[in-house]
Amino acid sequence: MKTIKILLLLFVTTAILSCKKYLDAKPDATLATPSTLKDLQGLLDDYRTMNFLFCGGTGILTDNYYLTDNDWASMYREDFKNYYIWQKDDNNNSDWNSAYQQIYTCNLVLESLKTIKSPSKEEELSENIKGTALFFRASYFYSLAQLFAKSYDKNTAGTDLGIPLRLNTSFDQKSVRSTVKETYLQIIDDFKQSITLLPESAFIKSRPVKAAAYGSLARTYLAMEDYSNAYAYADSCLKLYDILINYSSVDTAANIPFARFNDEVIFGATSYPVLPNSAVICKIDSNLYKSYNDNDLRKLLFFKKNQDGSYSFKGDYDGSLNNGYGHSFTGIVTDEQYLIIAESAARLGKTDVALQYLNGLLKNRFKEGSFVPVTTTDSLELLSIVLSERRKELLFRDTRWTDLKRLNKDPRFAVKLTRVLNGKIYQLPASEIKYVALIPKTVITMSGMQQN
Amino acid sequence: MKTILCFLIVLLFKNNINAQQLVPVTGTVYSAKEQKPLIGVTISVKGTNIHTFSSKEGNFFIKVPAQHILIISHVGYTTKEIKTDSIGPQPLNIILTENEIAINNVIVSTGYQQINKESATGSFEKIDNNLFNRSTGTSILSRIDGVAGSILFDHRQGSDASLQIRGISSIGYASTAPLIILDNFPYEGNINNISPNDVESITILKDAAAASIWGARAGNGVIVITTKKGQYNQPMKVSLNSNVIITAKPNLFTQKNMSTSDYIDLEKSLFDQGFYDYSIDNPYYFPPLSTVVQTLAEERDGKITEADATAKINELRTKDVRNDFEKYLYRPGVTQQYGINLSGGSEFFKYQLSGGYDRNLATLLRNQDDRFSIRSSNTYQPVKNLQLNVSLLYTKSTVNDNSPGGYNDLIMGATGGAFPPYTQFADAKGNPIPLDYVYSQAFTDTAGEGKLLDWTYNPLDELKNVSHSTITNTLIADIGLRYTFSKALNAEVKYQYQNVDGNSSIGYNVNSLNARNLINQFTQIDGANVTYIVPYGGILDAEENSLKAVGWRGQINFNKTIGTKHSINAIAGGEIRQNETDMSGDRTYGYDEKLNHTDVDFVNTYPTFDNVLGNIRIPSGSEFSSKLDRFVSMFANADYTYNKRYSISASFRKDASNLFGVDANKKGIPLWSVGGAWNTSEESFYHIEWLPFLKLRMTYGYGGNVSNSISALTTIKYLPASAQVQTNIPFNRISNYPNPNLQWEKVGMMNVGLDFGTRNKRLYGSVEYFKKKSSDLLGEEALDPTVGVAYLTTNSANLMGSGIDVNLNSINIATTTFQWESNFLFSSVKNKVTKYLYDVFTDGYVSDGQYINPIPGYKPYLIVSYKWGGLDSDGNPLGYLNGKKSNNYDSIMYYTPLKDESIGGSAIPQYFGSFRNTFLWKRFSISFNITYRLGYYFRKPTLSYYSLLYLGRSNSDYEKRWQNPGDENKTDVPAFHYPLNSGSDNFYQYADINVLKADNIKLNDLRVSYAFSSHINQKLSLQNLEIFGYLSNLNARLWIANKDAIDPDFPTGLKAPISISVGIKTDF
Repeated sequence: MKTIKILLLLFVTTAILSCKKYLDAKPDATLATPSTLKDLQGLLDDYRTMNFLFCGGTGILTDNYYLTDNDWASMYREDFKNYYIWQKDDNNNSDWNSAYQQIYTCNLVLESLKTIKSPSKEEELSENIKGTALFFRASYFYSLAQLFAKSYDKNTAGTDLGIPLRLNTSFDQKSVRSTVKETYLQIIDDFKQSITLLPESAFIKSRPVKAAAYGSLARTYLAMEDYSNAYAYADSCLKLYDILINYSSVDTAANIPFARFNDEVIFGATSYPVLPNSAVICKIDSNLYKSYNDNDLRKLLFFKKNQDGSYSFKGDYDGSLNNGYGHSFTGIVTDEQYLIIAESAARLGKTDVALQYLNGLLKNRFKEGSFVPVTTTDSLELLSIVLSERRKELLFRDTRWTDLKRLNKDPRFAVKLTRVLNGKIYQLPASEIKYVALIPKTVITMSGMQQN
Repeated sequence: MKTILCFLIVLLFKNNINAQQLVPVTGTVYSAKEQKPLIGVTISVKGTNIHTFSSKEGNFFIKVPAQHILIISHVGYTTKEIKTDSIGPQPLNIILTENEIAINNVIVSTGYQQINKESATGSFEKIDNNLFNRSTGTSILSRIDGVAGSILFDHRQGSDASLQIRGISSIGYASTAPLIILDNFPYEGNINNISPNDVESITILKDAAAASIWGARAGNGVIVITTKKGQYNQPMKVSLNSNVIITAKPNLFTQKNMSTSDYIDLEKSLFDQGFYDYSIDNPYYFPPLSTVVQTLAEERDGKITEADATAKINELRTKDVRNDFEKYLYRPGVTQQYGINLSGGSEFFKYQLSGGYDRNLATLLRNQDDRFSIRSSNTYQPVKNLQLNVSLLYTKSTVNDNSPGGYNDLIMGATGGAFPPYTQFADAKGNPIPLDYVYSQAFTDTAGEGKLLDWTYNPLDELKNVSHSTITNTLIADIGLRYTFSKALNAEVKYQYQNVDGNSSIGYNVNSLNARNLINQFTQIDGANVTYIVPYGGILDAEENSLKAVGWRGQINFNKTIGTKHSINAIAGGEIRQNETDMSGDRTYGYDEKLNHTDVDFVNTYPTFDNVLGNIRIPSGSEFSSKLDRFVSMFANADYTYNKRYSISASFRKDASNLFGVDANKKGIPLWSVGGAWNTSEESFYHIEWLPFLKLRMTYGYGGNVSNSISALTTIKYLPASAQVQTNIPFNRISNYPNPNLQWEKVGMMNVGLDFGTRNKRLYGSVEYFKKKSSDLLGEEALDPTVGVAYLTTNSANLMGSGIDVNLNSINIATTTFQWESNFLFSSVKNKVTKYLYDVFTDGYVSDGQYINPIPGYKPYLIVSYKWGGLDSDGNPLGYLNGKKSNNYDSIMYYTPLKDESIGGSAIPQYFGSFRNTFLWKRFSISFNITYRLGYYFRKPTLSYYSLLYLGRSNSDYEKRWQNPGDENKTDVPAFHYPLNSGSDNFYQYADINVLKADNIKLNDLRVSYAFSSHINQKLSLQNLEIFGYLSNLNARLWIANKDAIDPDFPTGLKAPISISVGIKTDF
C-alpha cells in the first residue's frame, strides 16, 4: 500500500511539473499572438480588409448613375435600397462596422509596436509600420466622416457632431462622438505623423508611401475648403510622384482597360463593395455620358454600351472585372492631385497654375492631336470647367459625395439631386440634412451615442 | 430468448432418437422464492427432440434415454440441467430460481471501468450485441438509431445525421457532438472507419454520475463502444457473417415540381417581358442561356422561323430531366458486408482476431466505397498477477465520389441554378449532348475560332473524366498493463496510439470541364499561334490529412467487500492526451495518368481569354494546416454499497488544456458528480410480490465542453499569398479578439431514476427524469461595433433542459412454441435558452430552426414566421403590420416585434421513441420497429419566384397560384407578378401558413430470421446457423400530423429509397 502511495505521489508531482510546459504548445500552427514586426506588417498587408477604404454607402448616394426599377426592387439589402432614394435607414451596419474593425487593427498594431523590442536595424521597418497604421487609421476616420458627419464648416465645426475617435483597443472604453473639428484635427494629425514615418516607395502599391499621405492630406483639406493647404499638399505629393498615363496608349476595346496598381496609382484601395455600384446593374447617368467630348478617350475607356442602350462603367482603376463587385477605387492617384491643384489654384486666383495643371491632365485624356487646351482667364468659368472635369475624371472614385456636400454650400455650384423610381420622383435638395447618414441602430443602442 | 432458442434446438431432435432404452422420470417443478408449483415449464432431453411441459400442478412425466441430460427451463428462471444417471428418488422436486437479477446483471463500460448496472447510481443505456446487429449497414452509429433511448438523430442533416443525447447542451460555438470512446480512449477519427463487425456492445452514458468522469468533454454525453474480446478457457470459436443490402434507385418523380410545359410557358412570357435581355449577348459575362431562351432569341433575330422555333420548343415540353438523371446518373445500390471473428483462450491467454470487408456501391453511379478491417486483441498473463493486453486495429477505407452530383445537387456553373427541366443529357442513341455551362453558345461558338478547347459540359462525360477518391488508413494500437497487488487492489497503465491518414485526390483529366475551362481561360491566341498558360493536360488536386492521437493513463483500481455488508469500488488516476491534426493540399497542372506534370507560374498575372476576367493569376491550391490539442487530467471515482441496499457514488475530474491559455486552466473548476441508489426491494420490509425488483437512484454533477477554436488572447492567423489575389503577398488577419475572462462550458445535470421488474421478467424497465443547466456557454456577445468588433465570442449563454426517459420491456406471451416480446422507448426533451448576451434584434426575425438561434426565453431550434393574412385581390400575400393587414413587406420584415410574430415551436422532436416487437415462433423470429417523433414543426418547401427565375428551382404549387381575381378565396399561393418583388417572395416563404406539424409515427424496418435446427447444424459441423432478411428505410407512415401528408424527413417529397438485405450468420 505504501509503495502505491509513493508511486501515486510521484506520478502526480511529475504530471503537475511537466504540465505547464506541455500545455504551452500552440493549438494551431497558423495562429499566433502578434509579437513580431512581421506579424504586424502582415496585418496591414491584408488587402481585402485594410484596403477596402471608404464606406460603400457614399457610392450609392451619388448622382453619377441610376438603377432600373426592376434592379432596384430585386436588391436584397434594404439599406442599399434606401440609400439610393435618400431615405433614412439605420440598419446600415456594414459601413460602420467594417471601418471600425480596421481602425481596431491599426490601434492593435500601434499598441503592439510599443511592446515589441525591435533590433536597431529594424527601426526603419518599425517606423514604416507605425506610419502605415496611422495612415490607415486616418483614412478610415476620413471616410467615416464623409458619410456620417456634416461637411466641415469652419463656423460650426466646433459644435457639429463628428465621429467617435477610437484611439486604443480597449473594449471597455465607451464610444463618444467627437466634434467635426476634432475629427478633422485627428485625421490631419495622423496623416501628418505618417508623412514622417512612411517610406518614399514601397515594393507594392497596396502599401502607403509618403506621397500617398501628402495626397490624402490634400484631399482632406479640399473637403475642409482649406484651399491653400490643399494646394500645398497636392503639390508635395506630385513632387514625389506625378506620372500620368496617356490614354491614347490604352486599348479602348478592352473589357478592363486599366490594371490594378497602374502607373497613375500612388496607393491602391477600393471602397467596401456595394451592389448598386456593380456594373451589372449600375447605369451611367445619360447627361453625364453626353457631357464627354467625342474626342475624349475617357468616353471609350470608361464606358461600355449595354444591350438596352444604356452605358455601364468599365474604367475601374483597381483593374477588377467591370467594377463587378460594385466597389469604387478610392486610392490616391496623380490625376486627383492635378485636379486638386487646378481647383485650389483657380480659387486662390493663380489662373496660370490652374490652367497648367488642368491642361496637363487633359492632354493625356484626348485623342492624339485633338486636344484643344483650355485658355479662359475668367475665374468663374475656369472653376466651372475644373469642377466639371473633376466629376468626369474621378468617376466611381468616391469623391463625388464629398464634393456634393462641399459644393452645395456655394449657390453657384449647388445641385438638387433627382431620382425617378417606379414613376415616383425622389429629390435631395442641396441643403438637406439627409446628406448625413444615420448611424446604425445597433451602435446607438449599444453605446448610447447621439444619432444624426 | 435464450431459453426459447435452446428449446427450439431441442425440438429438432424429436424424430432422431432410435429405440433406445427409455427411463421414465416424474417430478414437480417449484419456484424458489415462493415455493409454488410452476406451470408450463419445459422439460426436455438435451441433444434430442424429446420434451414435455409441466401441468397446472407443476407435475411432469417424461421418458428419457439413459446417459442423457434433462433440461428444465422456463421463461424468467435459471435453466437447470440434471444428468439422468444421477437422478435420485422419484418423483423429483425441482426448484427453479427466478432470474430477475439477470434483468440488471448488465455490465456496462465507462471507458475507465466496468460497472455492474445493478449497483450503479448513474444512468446507463446498453445496446447489446444482438440489438446492435439487428440492423445492417456499414455505419456504427446509424445502427443505434431508433433502438437507443434518449438519443435523437437529427434526420434533417441527411445521411450523416448528427445526434444528441438528452437534447443539446451547447449552442454550437463549442462541439455539440457526444464524445465517442472506443474501449478506453476517445476516438478522434471518423467513426465510419470502424467496422461494426468489431463491436461487441455500446453503452450510452446519460447522466452526470455516468459521464462526468470524462470531465471537460462529457457535457454532450458519452457513447462508449466496446469491442469484442476473447475469453479465458474457451475453445476456439469462429463466427462468420455476411449480408447483402440492395437499395432501390430513388424515384425522382416523387418530388413535386412544376411541369416542363408550364416552365416553358413561363420562360416564354419572361422572354417577351425582356427578362433575359441582359443575359442574351451580355457583353461581360456571356452567361449560358437555356435552350428555350436561346431558341426564342434566334427567332427574334430572324435566324430561325417562328414555326421552327415553336416546333423545337414544343418538342421539349414532353421532356423531363429526371428521366435522364435516373437513366444515366443513378443505379440501384448494393452493399456487401463480410465479417469473420475468431476468439478463444487458455488459462493464461485469451485472444480475439477479426477481419471484415465491406463494399458499397451507392445509388449514384460511380460513387462507391469499401472498407477492409483487421483487428486483434490479445491478453496474456506472463507472470502471476500481471496482465498484458495488446490490441491492434487497422482499417483501410476507400471512398470514391466520382458522380458529378444527383438531382437537386447538380447545378449549372455560371448561374448556380438547376438545369432546366427539359434538359437532355443524351440523345436517343445515348450519346452525350453538349450543354452550355460556363458561357453561352453564342460566345463559345465563336470564341477562339476553333483554337480553344470545347467549352461545353455534359454530366455523362464528367462521370468519366473526373475521379475523386479518398483513401483512409486507420491504425489504433492499445497496450495495457495491469498488476494485481491483492484481490482488492490493482494498478494499470494504458497507452493508446491512433493514426489516421487520409489521402484524397481529385483528378480532372484534360477532357473534364474544369480542366478545359481553366486552360481556355488562360489561352492566348495570336493569329495561328496558340499559347497555353495553363498547360494542356489534366489537373490533380491532392490533399493529405493526418491525425495522430496519443494517450497515456495511469489508474489504480480498488474493489473490496468488507464483511458481508460493505462493498467499495474506487478508481483514481491521471491522463495525458494529445491530438495532432495536419493537413496539406496541393494542385498539379498538366497532370496525366503517366504522371507527367508541368510547372506553372503562380506569381504573375496573365490576361484571360477575351479579357473576360481581366488579368488574373493561375489558381494555386496550396494549403496547409497544423493543429495540436493537449489535455492533462486527473480523475477519481468511488462507489460504496451497504448491504446491497444503499449505494453512494462520487466522481471528480480536473482538466487542463493548451487551448484557452493558462488563465482559463486556472479558472476551470473541477467537474464532479455525486449519486445515491436505494435498492428498495432488498429491504426486509419490502413485500410487494408482483414487483420483486425496485430501485431508486438519484445523481447530480457536472460535465464540461471545450472549443478548440477560440483563445483568451489576441491571435492572428497567417494566410498565404494565394489567399489574396490582388497583391499576392502573404498576410495576417485577426482571428481571435482578446477575452481574458474566457472559461470552459459547464453542464450540470440532475437525474432521478426508478428501475423495476415484475415477476418472471414479464415487465421490466426504468423511468428517469433529468434536468440540465448548461452555463457559461460560448456564444456571441454583442458589443458596440465602434470598439472594433461587433460580436465577441464569450461565455455568454445559458441553456436549460429537462426531460423524461422511459424504457419498458415486456414478455407478452410465452408459450412453448411462441413468444412475443415488446420494447418500448419514450424520451422527452425540452430545451430553453435562459440567457444570451447577443443583442438579438428579434424584430422581424424568422427562422426555420435549422440551426441553433438562441433567443432568451425560447427553444434553441425555433421556428418563427410572419403571420399570414391571406392574399389580396391582386394575389399578393398579406401580412400584419401593427395589427392591420398589410403588404408593406419591408416594414413587416424589419419592424414586426417577435411577440407579434407566429412562434411555430420546436424544429426538432420534443417527444420521441420507438416500439419494437419481436415474435419468436419455432425457429423463426420476426421483429419490427415503429418509431415516433412528436411535438415539432417544419417549414414546407414553398414556391419562390426568385428561385424559380434565377435558380430554376420550381415547385408544383405554381399550378395553384393566384391567377384571376377571386382566386384569393381558393388558394394561398401568391400570384406571379413581373418584375419580382423580392419582399413578397421572402414574406410568403416565411409566413406561418407554410409551417406544418411534423409529428409522425412510422414503421421503419422489419427483420425476419430463421435459425437452423441443430440437426442441420450437426450435419454441417456448425454450432449455429442463422439466415435473415431485413427491410429498412421503409418509411411507412402509420400516422402523420399535417394534413398535406408531407413527411418532415423528406419535405420535397424525394425519399430515401427502400433497402432490403439478406444475410447469414454462423458459429463453429
